[in-house]
Amino acid sequence: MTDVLIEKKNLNDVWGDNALGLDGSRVIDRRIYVDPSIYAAEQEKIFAKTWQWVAHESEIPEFGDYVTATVAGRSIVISRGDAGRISAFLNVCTHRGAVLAAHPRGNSAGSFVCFYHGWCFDAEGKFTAAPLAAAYGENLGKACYDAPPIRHEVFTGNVFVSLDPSIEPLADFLGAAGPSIAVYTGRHVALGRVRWLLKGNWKLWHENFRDNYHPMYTHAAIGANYQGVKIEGLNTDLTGGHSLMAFPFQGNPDARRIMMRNITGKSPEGQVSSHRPPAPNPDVRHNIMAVFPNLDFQFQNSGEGGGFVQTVRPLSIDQAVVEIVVFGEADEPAEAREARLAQFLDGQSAAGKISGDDNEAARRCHLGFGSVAEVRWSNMDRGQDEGRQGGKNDEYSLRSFYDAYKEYMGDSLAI
Amino acid sequence: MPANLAEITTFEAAGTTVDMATERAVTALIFRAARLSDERRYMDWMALFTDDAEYSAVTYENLIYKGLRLFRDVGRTALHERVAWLMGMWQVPRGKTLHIVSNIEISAGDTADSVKTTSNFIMARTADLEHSALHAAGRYVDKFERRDGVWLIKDRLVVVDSNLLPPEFTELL
Repeated sequence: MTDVLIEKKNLNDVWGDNALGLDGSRVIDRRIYVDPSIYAAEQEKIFAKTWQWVAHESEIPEFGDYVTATVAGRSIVISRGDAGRISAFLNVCTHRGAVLAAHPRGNSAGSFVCFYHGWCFDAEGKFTAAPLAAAYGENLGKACYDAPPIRHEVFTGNVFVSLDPSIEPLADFLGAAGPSIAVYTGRHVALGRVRWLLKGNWKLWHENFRDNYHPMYTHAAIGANYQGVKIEGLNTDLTGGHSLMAFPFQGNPDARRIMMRNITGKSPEGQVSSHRPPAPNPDVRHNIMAVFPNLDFQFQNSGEGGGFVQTVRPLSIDQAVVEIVVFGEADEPAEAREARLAQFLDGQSAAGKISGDDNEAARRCHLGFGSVAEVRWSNMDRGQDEGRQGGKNDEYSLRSFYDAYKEYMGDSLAI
Repeated sequence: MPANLAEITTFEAAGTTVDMATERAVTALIFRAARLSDERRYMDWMALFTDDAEYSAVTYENLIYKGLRLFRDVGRTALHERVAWLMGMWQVPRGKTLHIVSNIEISAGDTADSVKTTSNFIMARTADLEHSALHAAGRYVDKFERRDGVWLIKDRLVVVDSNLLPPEFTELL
């Protein structure tokens, strides 16, 4: 098979001429994690040109509620205004440039007042007044003093923004991922966010959610579950840079108890009760859907119960902020809501039993990239079936990301 | 927000004072839990809790929003599992930690054998090849119970002040 792939090697592909002898679509040039010019190009060619998930409308239910997000270096306000309208605008005072909303979440009471000179903007970012305005004569009554609006759309409660005014409609951008987003989040509300620092390039985090080869090895408890199990599940390129991994929770339900005994020298006294990671259950299908370039959805079956939405946004070439938003069904019983708030996050975040390991994976990879001059290429060749779908542990999802990544980045990768 | 979380946002350890012997015992228990965590004596740390204890953590941001916790371990087995993760199931290298606990306020609980406290903590961490750095700061909201003459931790809620957690946040808080 390798010979066939070498024959197919596309020399026009920017990564076609690689030391692994693979097709350019099946390798990663590690310079994308460390090269400053590529990082700068990603900001303008990817983050400023794609739809970015910034909020769920349930997070801003009342007039004046707002959240802020940073996209390609721009701070953006997402605000609920008159008649329930949601607006998005640059979080910047048009007078001297100070940010208007200084908190990640708040309520403006319908007016953002710049703390510096007191210029006022309404809940949609429109300039309304300035103190002692007579000194400006007639020159302030212009739209150029509004905080610039940002293109935004709401998709089944999910608020996306784009810095590109001419970007395709959100539904078109989401493509085959759209219907799943509707199923996963259509009847849900956001229950809170947790964010943490990632010591590694932002792509390492997003890649991790397109890679189901690692869990058996990176996550010790899951690895124990899988011993002796024929692995099921699918890894699917949804095109457009989006992908879906869907698989049952398989394995030995006693594996974690056995590990606890082996590690601590003491048998657990009762039923192992941690909510996450869940016990093996072949009737539960776990869905990990990745949306280009930095968004992940994790839900079970058809969104029953709740799930997670995650974004990763770069702070610099070697650091990023990961943010997870926890979702529950809007009408779930009080007892279920209480349990979700208490224990649903157990496997996630920098304190999570699963994500803790994933953070470490990014950190170690980034450290390893110090050798990029000597070891330049990463293999992304798992799964030899033609087409866009293979087994759970294959890399159709990962290749889906990099197909789109190359398209967006264009000649910026030809360094 | 759940009522119990709403109540503790005031951080009032309201109630009557306790006798000096109880105060000394509970204070010693708070310090011992911090030291055993720093010494990575996780099984010994677990032994400071009652069998039906609860150990959970929440960021302050979520505490005052809807109460979403980072984790909530209820009962001996859940604590045991957390300890097992720390001792080997997690792949994350932990730096040496150092807890400083102070501002302890103590008041009587609902019975003669229970006590409520709040206290502040900071935790420094020294990872491989790194200098000591502030890793976490926050507040313990604790309930202690005397079982068979021995004071134990019945509930510990750790309120973490950070709105941006550090990359490795798997240590016992």
